[in-house]
This record gives sequence, C-alpha cells and structure tokens, in this order.
Amino acid sequence: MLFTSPEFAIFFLVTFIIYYLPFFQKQQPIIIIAGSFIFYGWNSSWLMGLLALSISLNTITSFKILHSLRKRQKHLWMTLGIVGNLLILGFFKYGILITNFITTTFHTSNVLTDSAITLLSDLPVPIGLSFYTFLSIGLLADLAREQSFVLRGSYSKKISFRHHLLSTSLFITFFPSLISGPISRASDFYSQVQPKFLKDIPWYDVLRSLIIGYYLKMVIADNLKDYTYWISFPYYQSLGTMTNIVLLVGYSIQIFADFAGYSLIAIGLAAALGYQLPQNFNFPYVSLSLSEFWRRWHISLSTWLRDYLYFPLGGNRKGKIRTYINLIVVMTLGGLWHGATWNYAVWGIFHGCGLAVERLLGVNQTSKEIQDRSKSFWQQFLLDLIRWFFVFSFVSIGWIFFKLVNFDAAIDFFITLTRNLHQRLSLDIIAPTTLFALPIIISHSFYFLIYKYLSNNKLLKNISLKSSMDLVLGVLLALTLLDAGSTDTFIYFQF
Amino acid sequence: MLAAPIHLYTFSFRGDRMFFISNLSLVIRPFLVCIACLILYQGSIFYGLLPSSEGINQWQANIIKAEKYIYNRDSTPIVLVGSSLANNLPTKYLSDRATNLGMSGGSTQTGLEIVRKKEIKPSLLLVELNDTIGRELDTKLVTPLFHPLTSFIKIHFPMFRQEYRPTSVLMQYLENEYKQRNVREVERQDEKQVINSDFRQKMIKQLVEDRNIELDTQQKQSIVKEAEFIKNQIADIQKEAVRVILFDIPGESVVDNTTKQRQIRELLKSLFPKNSFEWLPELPARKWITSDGIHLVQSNAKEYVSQLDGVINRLLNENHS
Repeated sequence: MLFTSPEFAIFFLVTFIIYYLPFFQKQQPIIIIAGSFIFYGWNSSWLMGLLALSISLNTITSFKILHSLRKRQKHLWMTLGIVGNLLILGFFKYGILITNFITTTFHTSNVLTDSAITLLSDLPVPIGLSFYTFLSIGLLADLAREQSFVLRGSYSKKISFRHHLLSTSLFITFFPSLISGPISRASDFYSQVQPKFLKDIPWYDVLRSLIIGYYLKMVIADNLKDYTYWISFPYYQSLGTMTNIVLLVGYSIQIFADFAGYSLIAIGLAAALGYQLPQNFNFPYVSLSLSEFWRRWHISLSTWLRDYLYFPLGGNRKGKIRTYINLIVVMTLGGLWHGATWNYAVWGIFHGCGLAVERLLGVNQTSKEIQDRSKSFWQQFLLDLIRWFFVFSFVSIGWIFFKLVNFDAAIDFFITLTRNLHQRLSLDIIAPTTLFALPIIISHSFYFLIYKYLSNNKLLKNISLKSSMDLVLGVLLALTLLDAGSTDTFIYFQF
Repeated sequence: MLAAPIHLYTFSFRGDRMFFISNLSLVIRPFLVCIACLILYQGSIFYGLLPSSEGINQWQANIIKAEKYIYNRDSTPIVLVGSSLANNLPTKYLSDRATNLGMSGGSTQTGLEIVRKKEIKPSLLLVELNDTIGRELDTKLVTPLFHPLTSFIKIHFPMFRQEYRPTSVLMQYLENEYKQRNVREVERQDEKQVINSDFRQKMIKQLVEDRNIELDTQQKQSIVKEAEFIKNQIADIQKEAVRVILFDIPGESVVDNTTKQRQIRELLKSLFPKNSFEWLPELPARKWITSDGIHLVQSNAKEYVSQLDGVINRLLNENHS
C-alpha cells in the first residue's frame, strides 16, 4: 500500500479513529501491529508470514540477550539473531546475485545450481525487508551493548516476555516506517511505547510534515519522473549534452523529493500516532563536502552504518589507511543494501572513494566548520559555491547508477555526454523539468543563505516567519490538490 | 520565528491542554489559505482568465484527451482510437467532426473502453490495429475517469482536470509564446524530427533486427487474447448502432517488411476477417517516412490524414446514398 493511494487514506483514517477511542486505549500497540500487518500484506499476503518470522526471531533472540547474565551468552544470542536476519535478507534479496557470482566465478553449472537460480530469480523481493532487517540488527546490537537502553531507562531485566513481544512487534512492524524508514533506534522507540492521547498530538507539526511530504512526493517527484524517464536507455542517446545534464540534475532532485517526501509523510503519520521518528533528510544538497552530504542525506541509514558497521570495523581509530578502507567497505555495503546488482556496489565504491579522497585532502569539513574569517564575504561565497558545485556534481553523477541499473548503459550515458555536445536543447523536456525542480532549488538556496551567511543577522532574527510558513503550507496544499502527478512509483520501494 | 523553516523536521511533544488548543488553531490557517487559493483558481478558469493546456507529457496528454471527450456532452460523429500511431495523426486535418483518442504509449483497447463507457456514442468509429494490440487496457487511466466521485468533482470543478493543472497551464503559455516568436522553426518540424539522422538510422536498424525474428508463442497468445478483448468491446459498441471500421497506419517500409511485422499483419487479418469486420480500403502505396521507424513525420502524417479523410468521406457518402 502506497502512502499516496486512496486506500491508504481510508486505512489510516480508520486506524487513527480506533486507535484514539478511549475504549481501546490499552490495546493501542495491538491496533498498530494489526494495522501494520494489513498494510504490509495488502498486495501479497505471504509477506505477513515473513514479517511474523522476523518478529519471532528477533523477539526470542533479543529476550535471550536481555536475560543473559554473561557477556559471552549475550554475544552468542546477538550473533544468532544477526545471522538469522542476514540469512533471510540474503535469501530473498541477494540469493540470485550470490548464486550467479558463484556459478560465473567457479564455472559451476549443473542442474542443481541452474534450478537454484531459477527458484531465486522467481522469488519476489519483499518490500521494506532491508529496512526492518536493519531495525532488528540495531535492536540486537543495542541490547547486547546495554548502554543506550539503560541510559534512556526504557528497559530492565524485569520485563516480561509478553511485554517484550509486544514492544518488539510494534518496533519492527510500525507501519509508518515499515517499508521506507526512517530507521529508528530501538532504545528511542521502546521508551515511547506508552498510552497515547489525542491532546498530545502536535497537530501543526503533523500537518507541516504531511503537507511538505505529500507535496515533495506527489507534485515534485511524481511529475519529474515523467521527464527523467528520458535518461533511460536508449532515449538519452538522442538528446543533447545540456539536455541530459539538466535531466540528471532533475533526477537528483526527483530522488530527493521522492524519498524525503516519503520520509516526511512517515514522520508526520507517526507523530499523529504519538511516536517521534528520527529526522531523515536535512537539506542534503547544500553540502560543501561529501561527509556533510552523508550527515544530511538518509540520516537514519548513514548513522546506522556508522554505528553498527563503521565503528565496529575500527572507524578512524586504526590509522589512516584503515580509515579509508573502512569508508570504502561501509559505503560499498551501503550501496549493496539498496539492491542486489553490481551497479549499487559501484555506486557505493564511488562514494566510498570520494569520502576517502576527501579525508586524504583534508576537505571533509561541514558548512559550519568552513568559516574562514580572514576571507571577505564574496571570497568565502565564491569558494563555497565551488565546493558546493563539486559535491552536487559528484552526487548527481553517482545517481546515474540508480537510474541506469545496467552498468554498460551508465557508462554509455557519460560517453553520450561527450558525443552530443553540439546537439540543440530540447526545450519541451528542459522547461518542465526545471519548473518542477525549482521549489527544491529555491528552498535549498534559501536554507543555504540563512544557515551559512545570515544566521547571525539581527534583522532576520526579529522577522517572524510563522505567518509566511502558513501561507507556504496553504499554497503547497492547494498545489498538491491541483498539480499532483501519477503516483504509481516509489523509487525506494525496491530497496 | 527563524527556526521554523530550518528545523523543518523536528517536533515538540508537549501534552498540555493549552498546547493542544493553540496547536490545533494553527492548523486552520494553512487550510484557509488553501481554500482561498482554490477559489481564486476556479474563479480564474470560470471567467476565462486561464487557458486550458494540451498536456506537457504523454501521460497527461492522454488523460486530457480522454477527459475532454468524456466530459463533452455533445455527440462526436467520428472517433478514432488507437496507439501512439493514431495519436500522431493531426485530426484537425481529418475533419472538424472527428475526435482522436489515440493514446501515446497506450493501446487501442483504452480508447475503445472510453467510447464503450461513454453514454453518447459516435456514428463512426475508426479502430487502428497494429502490433501494439498485445498491450492491455490501461485500467489506471480509464477507471478514475469514470469513478462517480472524481467525475462529479471534475465536471463541477474544472480546476481538477488535467488540462488546468497550474504547471501545464504555465508551460502551455510559455510554449505558445515561444512558438509565436519562432514560427519558422516550428514550420521546420520534419527537419527537427529527423535531424539526428544517425540516431534515427540506429533506431530503425535496431527495430529491423528486433523484428526480423519469428513471432514467439507468448506474443502470439497475447495478441490473440487481446484481439478477443477488442472484439468484445467492438461488439458492445456496435450494439448501439455505431459503424466500426478497422485500419492500419503505414510505417517505414523496411520495418513493415520484417518477419515479425508480416506475421502480425497476417495474424490480425485472420483474427479480424474481412467477412466479419469492415476494414478501411487500402490507400495508394507510397514510401512513408518516419521519425523513429514507427511514427510518421509530421508532413507525412498530414498527407496520410488527408488521404484518410477522402476515403472516409467517400464511405460516408456511400452510406448516405
């Protein structure tokens, strides 16, 4: 079920009403769990079985971790749980990739491997599997480490299995974030499992999140997709270099609007149900370094990879070379997390290498850190603009591996850019792409100026933007009603 | 406050009554702004201040075409249904009484379904048949068009129709401005369509390669299945005294002469035999030029339409006499 579908609107409305009825107050977690199963299994009911399997595995192993007295025991249960989760993920998502890799590398082709490939390629990839696998691994690791749970005072060893089953089921299945994140932390989430009241709903924040989210998804992303379609194979070959570049920028903006919009809707829906999900995007396209970009893009995934992969690998504590290797390894796995094709791995390596080179050159500071007081305003502005241009171009080039899943086509796209230099602009494609991308460009520029240059401006501090925000929200809502595109796709669904 | 746009994604959970009331009252203002915007927009359309658009992409153009046909309460004497081949035909040269429901990227079944579901029927229905009949009916396009609630809203509030989408209206305005200033360039449409000759040749070569193989069983089954569907649609429409004429639009000869293309033509002739279905008489043979191996360039499309117009007029006259 897509957040943008009419059936979801009805589903959410019904769930919301039942959820806040005083009569069902004590059953609130069960209502969400039941709702989540319906939401998840709406199109394929077998997915509910997979979700139940994941819940069972993670509830049992996490409960065992919680009640293990020895550290070794805790680690044993954690390892068991993580291996179980990775097996499910590996079987459904990477089975075909791994089997293909083995058969081509070792030239082992027989009836058994052939039928295995057929079986695996026929398996549908369960939507959201990567998201709830990461949630579960985070839960197991956090419980084994204990600190985060103890710090938030949300859990103790006295907790009953029934209570733990309820909390874990709610945490894994929570429908606003089930299929596309943000990836919440168990320690943050479990402490929120308590009765919710209508009076506690931050209506304005919910509205703001939903309006901006739906606008990003339905107006910007869903309309841009009709134009960025032209950079699919082989259509880009007929277009000029400038047209293709504008379309690539359009795709950068589409992928941001698509995912950030969906995340915002998830955050808004969760808030309406009394749960606070982590922020997932924070104006990523204002970044002046790749490190900053990853602190602003898909924040919940970046921090997950940092805490559960980069740090355990040694982070930057084991020398420069190990740091670079760790960065590349983490980003490659992060790339593969997106999909079981080598293109995603290439995308990850591309970003990993970028991050490593950035560290090597010492240019991995964030916008806030790069404030050289010895430079004049314009010198600093120009320097920032150059840095921004490099980061944005790098990131946008990387997105081509998302758009063109065939590696040869991705390379051919760049060859076409050099070949079609003198071809005329396709105004009928460029103009609407620019028009739909404009709100993102304007909002990022506005944020960039305020955040970087005018944050200390006294005059601006005294200006109330509240009423203009109401105006913006009202206009965005009207535009969502009038100008929405066709909503049959969501890029991150496949991940 | 300045913090509002910057901390766009953060929330403040405070569970007191005052917070709830003040928070809820804040929600009303954006809704009021939204309603004011909608009233203003609807008013502008009502007073003719905003022109309609023809759609700025394929999907939109298809919906606009369908909406205009469905919401038009007058009868349309001639309707043409088909795929992008039919859509490529400039109907304005055919007859001012004709409506073109050719769907780019779509199928004949979609146009037929729209005609079938609309209460007022045309007197003559031209059905384009080609290899794209293997495509299925686009239910995502058709179903919402006939949904009672959305139809009601669109009939009474035209601002919700595709033709009045703000971006499309703005784009249409800019396009018209551009066309007025670049009349000569617009006239050189053919040149523009075949300007990237290398790419055009490459596409044609690719098509010939792809279609110089035998029609596989799956494709054959899909065509047979969809042909049955089309036959049922036609039968339904014919029940209401509509004359249905089948036709095929010519393309690049090298593509038309490929193995698969020939097999499909034969298959269609056997599925829609001349003794059961009326086919348009063959037009004089000539070498047609396409922009991509499939779609006729504009000058050729115009010429084809004028020939088609002659045949249709003759058929209609025969009918009257």
